[in-house]
Amino acid sequence: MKNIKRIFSLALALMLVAALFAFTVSAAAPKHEEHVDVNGDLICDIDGCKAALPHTHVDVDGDNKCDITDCDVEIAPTVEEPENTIGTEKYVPNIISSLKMMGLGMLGIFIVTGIIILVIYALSHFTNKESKENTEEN
Amino acid sequence: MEELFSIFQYFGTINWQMIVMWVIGGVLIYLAIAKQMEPTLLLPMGFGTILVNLPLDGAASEEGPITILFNAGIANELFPLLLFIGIGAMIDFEPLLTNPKLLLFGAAAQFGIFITLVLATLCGFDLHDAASISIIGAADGPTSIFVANELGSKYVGAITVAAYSYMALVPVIQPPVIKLVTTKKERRIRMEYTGKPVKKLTKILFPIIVTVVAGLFAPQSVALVGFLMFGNLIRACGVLESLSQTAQNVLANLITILLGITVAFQMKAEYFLNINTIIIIALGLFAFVFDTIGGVMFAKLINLFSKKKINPMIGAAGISAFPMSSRVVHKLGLEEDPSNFLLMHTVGTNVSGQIASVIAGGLILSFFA
Repeated sequence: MKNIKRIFSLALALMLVAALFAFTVSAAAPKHEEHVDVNGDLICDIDGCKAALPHTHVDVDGDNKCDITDCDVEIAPTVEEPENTIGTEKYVPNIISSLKMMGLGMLGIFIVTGIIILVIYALSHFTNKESKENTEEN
Repeated sequence: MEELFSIFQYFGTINWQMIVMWVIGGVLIYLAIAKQMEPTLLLPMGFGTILVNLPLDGAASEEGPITILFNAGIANELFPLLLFIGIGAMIDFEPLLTNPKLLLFGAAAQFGIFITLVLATLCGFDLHDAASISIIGAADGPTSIFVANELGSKYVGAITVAAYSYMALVPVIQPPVIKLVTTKKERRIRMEYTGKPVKKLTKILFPIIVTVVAGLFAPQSVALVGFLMFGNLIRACGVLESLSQTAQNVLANLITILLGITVAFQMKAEYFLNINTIIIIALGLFAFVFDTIGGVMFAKLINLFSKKKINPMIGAAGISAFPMSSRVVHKLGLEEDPSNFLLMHTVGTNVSGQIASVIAGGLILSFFA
């Protein structure tokens, strides 16, 4: 156990050292402030860079595909982020609905399990009866 | 020299959120190995957490293998369902078939799900997210993943971590809660076990009938119940021993490996690192506590009307964490009275919890999907 703890502590320490080293190296690495794309080919035009530049996909016609030339990337339809409902007009109705669901849920689960119990009793009764009859016949 | 520096070009993309997620991944791996908490799932999840939080989205980029696996197995709910075949094949329903009334304790122990739904709504989550969070109380990993995913929750990662972590923490969570709501006298109640043999035909018909009943009354649960019961039918029929063994071992292990690492797709820093994750973890604990209280209180209620007293602790075994919960309650019974063997009752209640939690998941889906 002690060894495992040591290994994990060591791994954690190494991770942090690596991250620190990474930040230092990346800070020291030659880089320019911003990529520049003069000719619009989405490749940085600064000497020796040639980094591929991302572009923001645009869907003007609403067909869920990027409308920028030569880019047919499918764009997922924007989904509204669910927000915290506290203080909104949804808040109270949501609480009432959840209370209703709690009642219905507990009732529902007891009804379904109750039916399964009755079925098991019926099943046991039926199979026991059948095996008794078979034993008597023998 | 520039080429040398190019090796480090991605180091600049590392941010503090990634580092926090690496630490979380490391903690999950630590808990899995050193504390043996649900290692089959927490270890792949821990490693997956590190994997998806590397520069350029790690292995979870748009075309990355984790994304492909996520779309193939979790987005369409396939992995949790396949895992259910294995779980079904592992469960012996005989203690439940001997005393079917135990199923009611399984139902009562789902109370935590529904009370958590209300609390999560009070915390400001919208109804779909609240329902997804509440299902942590099912104490059943695959059901939690299935329901949260079906309801389109963006908190699947946090929900899965909470569900599996608390399942592993059952021996820590349940005993103090049980002791809090029972008296010493109640914990010493002895229960006779009349182990009547169950006919093979009953064992075979049971999974089929449960599937049909669940399908008729809670159709949304039919996929979950159906796959669980299919696995059990393979076991109960007695002629598919090799398939049963495969489902219990090879299939369950294979799916668990893929499920664990794929669920980590939702462990990206941008999804995971927010205040809601902490609230979800707290709500999960609340759900487990109230599952336990619900089961115990229901047993106490039955005792008010019954001549044959029931040890209320067996109600606590109605959660789906199998077989952990049954062992915990049995051990508590032995602590109070070393000659009080509750194991068969607790196992019966525990397998009831497995069925009831799946039905509860189906009901939640039928309300909200």
